Amino acid sequence: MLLAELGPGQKFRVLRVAFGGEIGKRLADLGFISGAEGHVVRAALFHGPMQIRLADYDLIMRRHEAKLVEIELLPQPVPVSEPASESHAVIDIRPNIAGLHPKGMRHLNRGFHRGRFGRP
Amino acid sequence: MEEKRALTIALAGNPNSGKTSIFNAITGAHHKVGNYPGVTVEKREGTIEYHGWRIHVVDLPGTYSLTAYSLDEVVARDFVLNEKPDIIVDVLDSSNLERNLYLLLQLIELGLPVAAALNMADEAAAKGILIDDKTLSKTLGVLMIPTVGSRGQGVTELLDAVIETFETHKMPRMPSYGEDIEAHIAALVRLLEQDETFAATYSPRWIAIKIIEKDPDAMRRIEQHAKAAEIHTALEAAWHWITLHYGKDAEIILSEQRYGYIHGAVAEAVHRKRLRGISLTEQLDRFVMHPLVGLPLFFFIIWAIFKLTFALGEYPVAWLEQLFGSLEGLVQNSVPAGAVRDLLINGIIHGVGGVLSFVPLIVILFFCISILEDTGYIARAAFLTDHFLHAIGLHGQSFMPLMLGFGCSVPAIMATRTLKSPKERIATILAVPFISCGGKLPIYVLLAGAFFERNASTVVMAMYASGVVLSILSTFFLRRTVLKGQSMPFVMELPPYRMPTLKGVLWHVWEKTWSYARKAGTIILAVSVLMWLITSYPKARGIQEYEIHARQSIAAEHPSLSEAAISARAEVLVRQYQLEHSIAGQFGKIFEPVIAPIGFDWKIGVALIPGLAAKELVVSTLGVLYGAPVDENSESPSLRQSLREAPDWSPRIALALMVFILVMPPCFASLATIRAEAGDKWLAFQVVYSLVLAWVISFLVSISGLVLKA
Repeated sequence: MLLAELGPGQKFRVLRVAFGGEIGKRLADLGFISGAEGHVVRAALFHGPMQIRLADYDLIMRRHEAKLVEIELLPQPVPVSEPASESHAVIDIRPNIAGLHPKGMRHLNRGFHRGRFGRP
Repeated sequence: MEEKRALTIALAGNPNSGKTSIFNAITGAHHKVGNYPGVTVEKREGTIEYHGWRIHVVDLPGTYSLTAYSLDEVVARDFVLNEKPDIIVDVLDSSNLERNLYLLLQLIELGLPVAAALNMADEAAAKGILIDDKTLSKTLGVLMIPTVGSRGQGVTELLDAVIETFETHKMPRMPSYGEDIEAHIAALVRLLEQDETFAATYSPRWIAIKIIEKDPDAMRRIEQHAKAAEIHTALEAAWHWITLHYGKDAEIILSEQRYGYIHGAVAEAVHRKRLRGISLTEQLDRFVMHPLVGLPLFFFIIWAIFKLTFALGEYPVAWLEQLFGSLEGLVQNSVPAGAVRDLLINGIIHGVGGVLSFVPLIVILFFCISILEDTGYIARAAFLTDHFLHAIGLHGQSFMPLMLGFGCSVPAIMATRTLKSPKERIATILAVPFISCGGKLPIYVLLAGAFFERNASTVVMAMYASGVVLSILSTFFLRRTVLKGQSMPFVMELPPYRMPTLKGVLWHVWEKTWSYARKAGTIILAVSVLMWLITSYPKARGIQEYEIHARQSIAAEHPSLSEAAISARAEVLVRQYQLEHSIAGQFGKIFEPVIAPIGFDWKIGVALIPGLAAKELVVSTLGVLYGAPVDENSESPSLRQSLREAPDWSPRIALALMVFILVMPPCFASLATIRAEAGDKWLAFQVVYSLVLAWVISFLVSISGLVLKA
């Protein structure tokens, strides 16, 4: 499923950005990475741009760019009348969604806890 | 007294991170605005004295990343790579830490000392985000100081941290991309280090990471490396391995690894409290961004700004006119008549007056715009209008400049600065002049009033409407030809609403006004003097004899006239005679064959020349040429009368002339602004394009007028 297909209130988790290059890289830089979660806050009229809440911040994007983001729909949609507040529970924000998670990142997190992630 | 030690800071950070407020808090009033060499990106810098240090601060453009895809990002990283500041200070939005840390990691990779400001600490606390800055500092190897830039809190601590970092040669800890990718990076670094001059210029690790990210600029740079071929082989291997292993492009994987590293660092240092309730931003956005309420509200805001700018601006403009009027009177009385007085009055006083008459408009307009920008409304307006504007090839942020074009093109063109994408910005700049500005109205009123008496207001409205249609069509055409290309990806942050600070807004206004005066003002002044020169030189030969002759024949024809009335009439004739024999008059005659097909004679040609300086001048020049007393009043019945009675005029010609003036290049003030904002190339394009278009369209209007009559 693509992010562009979603409507207001729907929650999603990013599977991947379809490809790199300028736009893909920009989306990844802004936080559209595997495992990132967010929801669609609202959309402009006639299939216009969408407002997306991604982790701690909001962004607006055209459907055209949203087509690059492959997502999976998450249950418990946020009711349209009451978009999520900007706060979250105490959460562990490491992207450790077991199956989805790229191997490289898991060993990175292991490395971090053993305190040998840096190469000065 | 010990000697001051010098230190250069490059200030980096995300857009909306409060970087400018930190910059203002550090430098106070001691800063200047210029451009980065060769590009239109603004560069702010300032120097302060602090505890025996002379600290020079350079504000880098606000960016989310350091790719080679956007001009701002290239400027920021080139500055660091080429100028090698002593230390980079990254301003982070604490309420949105992870995405802000993403830039910090890339700044660390540039290989210079780094310190960071955890800015908007108050906003983060309000959002229930608690940051343990000590732990975060230790993890990243970067001193992190909580600040609130808008209130100047934490700025001295930040400067202390900067000096400490510099004095102790504290280097940040390089982020890791995981064992396997690190092995590939290490292999590339070993190769890169083999060319010593290359390794001395660029940090090998930074180049290695950037080429794995397929950064076009870094790829170009390694072509100069002695072992370019071997590097390519190693690079192919790295790409191949990453794609095989992760199933995605390498540039995406590196972004994900950075975020992975950030998540790890943040997990230990950041705690969140659950907050109930809906934020104020969300409550406001339910109205402001509502599909049905949002657009009318947006139109209202634009209308209010328009009214405020041009209605409120009238007063200072009138005061300026009065001031320059009395100055003119002063010169008139104290300087003996002759070329010097003419130059002072008609060249310099009118020129400076022309430049200054735009200043009140620019001040009021940018006061409003910077409030909209600082509150975060601009992004919301883009959200609301983008869909329609994108269809014609513009951008959500093009709307405001186009609306402002109805008032005056100069501030409208300057307002396009809020647009970040170059092609859409140029397209907007080129679309603005077709919108009829206030200066074109007197011409429409004069000509429509003279030739379309009963339908005058309909004709004027039609001119305005044609301008809008033409501007849409022209943009549609240009975006598919000269300005062809994918529009910039429309992905922008929607910052929460923030209260603008008066100081920040005033700084912004001052910067814009100064840049107008510096870049456009000087040209406008020069052109005014030039215009005066070509309309009053060379002095017509035998002008004294002509005057005497004119007086005699007037007196003979109308024996009842008083001496004063005869002088007034004679003066009109003398002016006409002088203009006809001036350079401008000669130009009008030379170009007559060019405009003859439209049905214009040389007199119209002459009137159009000062029209380049300011559209209002067309009316007064026509006044001179058709012998009406010159009071620059378009309502003047005598000018209408004499135009109507002139043998070579007809409603068809009047309409064609109105169309020509609508389409022809805008006044010199606008052209100077186009040059300042878009460069010489686009200035030349605008002039040629609109001249050709003006000719073609008014020719068509004129021809169809003939056909319809037949």
